[in-house]
Amino acid sequence: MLPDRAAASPEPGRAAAVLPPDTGKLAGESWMRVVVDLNRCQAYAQCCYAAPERFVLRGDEILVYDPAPPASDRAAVDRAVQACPVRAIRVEHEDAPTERPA
Amino acid sequence: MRDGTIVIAGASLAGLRGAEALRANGFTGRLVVVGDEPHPPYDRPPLSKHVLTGEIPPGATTLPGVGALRAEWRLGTPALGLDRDGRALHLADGGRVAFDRLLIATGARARPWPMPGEARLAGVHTLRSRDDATALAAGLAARPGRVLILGAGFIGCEAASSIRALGLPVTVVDPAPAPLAGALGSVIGGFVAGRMEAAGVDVRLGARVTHLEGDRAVRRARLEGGGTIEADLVVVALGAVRNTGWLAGAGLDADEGGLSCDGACRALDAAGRPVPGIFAAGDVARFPHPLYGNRPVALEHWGNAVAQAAHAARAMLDGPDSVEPYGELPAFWSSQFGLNIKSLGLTEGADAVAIVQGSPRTGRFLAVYGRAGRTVAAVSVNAGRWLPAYEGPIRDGALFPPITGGADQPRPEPMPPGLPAHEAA
Amino acid sequence: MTDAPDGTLFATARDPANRADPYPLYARLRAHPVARQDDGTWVASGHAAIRALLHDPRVSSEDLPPAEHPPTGNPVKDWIVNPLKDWITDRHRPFIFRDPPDHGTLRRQVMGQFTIARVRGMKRRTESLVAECLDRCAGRRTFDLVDDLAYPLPVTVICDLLGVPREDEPRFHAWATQLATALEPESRHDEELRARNTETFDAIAAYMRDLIREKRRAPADDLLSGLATAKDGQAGRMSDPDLVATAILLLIAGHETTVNLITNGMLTLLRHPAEFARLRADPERAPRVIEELLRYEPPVHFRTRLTRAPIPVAGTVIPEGAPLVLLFAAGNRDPARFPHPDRFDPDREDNQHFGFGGALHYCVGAPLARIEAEAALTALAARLSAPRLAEDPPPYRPGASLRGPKRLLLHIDGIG
Repeated sequence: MLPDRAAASPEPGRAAAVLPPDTGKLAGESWMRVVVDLNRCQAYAQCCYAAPERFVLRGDEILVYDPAPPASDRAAVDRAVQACPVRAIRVEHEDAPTERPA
Repeated sequence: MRDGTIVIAGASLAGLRGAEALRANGFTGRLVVVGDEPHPPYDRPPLSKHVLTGEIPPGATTLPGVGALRAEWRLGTPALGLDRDGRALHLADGGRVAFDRLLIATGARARPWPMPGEARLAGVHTLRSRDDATALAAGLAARPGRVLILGAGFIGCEAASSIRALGLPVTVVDPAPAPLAGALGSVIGGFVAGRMEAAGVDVRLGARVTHLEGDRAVRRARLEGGGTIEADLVVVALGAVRNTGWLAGAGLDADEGGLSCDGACRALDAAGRPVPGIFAAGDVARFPHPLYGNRPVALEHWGNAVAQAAHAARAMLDGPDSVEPYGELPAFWSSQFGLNIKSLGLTEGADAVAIVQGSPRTGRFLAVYGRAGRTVAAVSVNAGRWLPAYEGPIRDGALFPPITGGADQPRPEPMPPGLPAHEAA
Repeated sequence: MTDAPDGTLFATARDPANRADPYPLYARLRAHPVARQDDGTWVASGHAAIRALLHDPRVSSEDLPPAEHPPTGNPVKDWIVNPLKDWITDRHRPFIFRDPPDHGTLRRQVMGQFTIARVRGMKRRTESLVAECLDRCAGRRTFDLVDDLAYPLPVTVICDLLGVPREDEPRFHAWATQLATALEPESRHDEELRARNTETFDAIAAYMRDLIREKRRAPADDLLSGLATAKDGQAGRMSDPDLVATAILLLIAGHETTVNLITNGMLTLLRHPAEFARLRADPERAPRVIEELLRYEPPVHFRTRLTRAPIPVAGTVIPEGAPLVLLFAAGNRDPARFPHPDRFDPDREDNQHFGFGGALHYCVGAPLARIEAEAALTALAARLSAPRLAEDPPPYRPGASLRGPKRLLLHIDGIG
């Protein structure tokens, strides 16, 4: 759903979103949920190398990411979580019954 | 105190993170999350950015943690009142939810256009909730001829950036001398104004809209002192008011500026005494900040919602005496017009600003704010990796300017920051 | 904590006798997170102090001593040619030895070529290189991880990426090893070492100049061609001396470090057989395992810096002009930051290690290193039958900063 690695921003004419209209249901969906703590993010771009379809750096350091990637991207998104030097990425998998305590 | 019933008022970021922290710290009792919107907790920052550009659908912003939380969700049922003595919440559906402990995380809502009749005109939007963003994105998809944004704060500027990215003509009107002047001052705001203009935004500073006009749909805005701006879509971005109206009559110290609480996040009554068992966190909570002379502040910051909710959870489980006074270093970010703006500390009351690394000419710089000779805040523009060096000096209130003599550090030339004289936090 | 710092601890930690396990000495250093050593060097060993200093603009990376050719007896060389060369070398150091704003300009130019497509494009190639290395060892009962895989893999990968002919490896191997000593504190005041590094730089620079000329004549789809022919709008094009220095840096950094990551990784996994078995059973664990390896046994133990101004940190003040060591490997084991820091635990979540440094100088090649380590370690776990360490600890290479085994002999029952 995110456009190609765009160097400049802002730019008009982005690709249309392809995500389902509502991922707000509490169960029975096949997306992950991702949020990045952008206070922590320092634009090291390691997530962009790990999962380039889901994390994109625009300009110098604006991180744009897909907050609801398909479950099929799990390995790539997990790599992004692990590779983040400041551990700013949090992901919830559909089949995760409980979160690990912080 | 790891059993019983805890009710969380507000299915928000703070509400969710508070609930998670309760579970993570061993709360095994009944957890009820009450939310006025029908949606489970979602992330707001994308709403003014990639949701408006259509790159992220509004529904995709549901926060991680929602699926795993063992809680009863009462969504779409606003809390109407608090029965403090009866220890229960009255809900809009007529229900009553009793609690042993309560976490208030009802946040804030967009400040509406003051003239209700004008605010009801088709094409007049606010931007705060997911539904707001959905409606605004739909309005933009109809390719309005001109978009008018009232207010050049962070939401107004981010919306302007997103809407320009869609190729639509945008006018921004604000009475201040620069965009973001309330938070960053007109020196740094002036730099942002340059970027806005370069991106093709019609920036009208020192101007005020008095009326919105149109038949059923908005057509134009009338300016103070005469003149009009044609617009068929208007975004009212005049800040937020805290959702405390439902607390009326509960005897708490609450108003549009927030619900007062102490360093353990305990809500205060009208006499300023902590109320047992009732806590607050997030945008709604007005607390004394120990780094700023215990000045009461209510922070509309993503990071504050997360950290304060976790702090409240610990105080709820282990007792208010078990936690240090809440004093997370304030931090926020904004991205707009190709700029990534990050901030640490509070600029409020600063009497000086100095650019201490990089330069606006190169588009990458770091500015430090001082108050009475002490460092109170730092703001980076496309230079986020420089910012962590200033955490210590802000925390310690180091002499201003705090870090000099390093690489790519111009000789600091402090100047007045151009902050409003008496701006509420 | 109240004892006076022992001003010899860092020297002792660097003593080759302690190479196999410097961590107990690092723990003693951490009692004073920032401490002056007897030779005037300041060592930061606590996680919080290292983090603060990494981001501090008063901490300079421009700490290389000036280039200096030894006298040749030829007056033209000694008075004109070599001083001019040294002058150019000093002004065009590789960007790990540069500060803002030059550092940022050079780094952006490099990142413009270190593209996601180019790096990810190396993944499959890396996997097949690993397979080839292991295939070549089929039937063997002993296996030297360094010679048989951990060195040839990254050197081939970086050659491919940069567009350096792999068959030139015998030429630049010795140069690279020599220049890697620039990361050791001794190189700051050992005259003989400096002279040798200056001459080595000359040799490898001449090699790179020829190669860059060739890339300009016939550009290929590789990183050096990209850098040599880039027309970057804002940043402008890299000057030729900067291009040469950058090419040398990428070539050396691209393999002298990854060999340690792979070798230290296998050593650690064989010392923790349960983790090795888990990786074998579940290759998806590799990213976690690798991040924990970067914390627990980082390829680069420390980097040196120089202070441009006095810096208050961790209850002390580092004076202006002081040589400073950021001891990443000690910060990575700081109990104030990591619970049970001496435990190898790939499941730890809050793993903000300094395995790739941090701040402005965060390792450019980190994504490539992760790809290589993952390919190597998962293949080793999958294909080596009953690997055992033939010697533990193994012999180490001389470097205290670029720390890693010289060889890692394994007994195996076979290669699948």
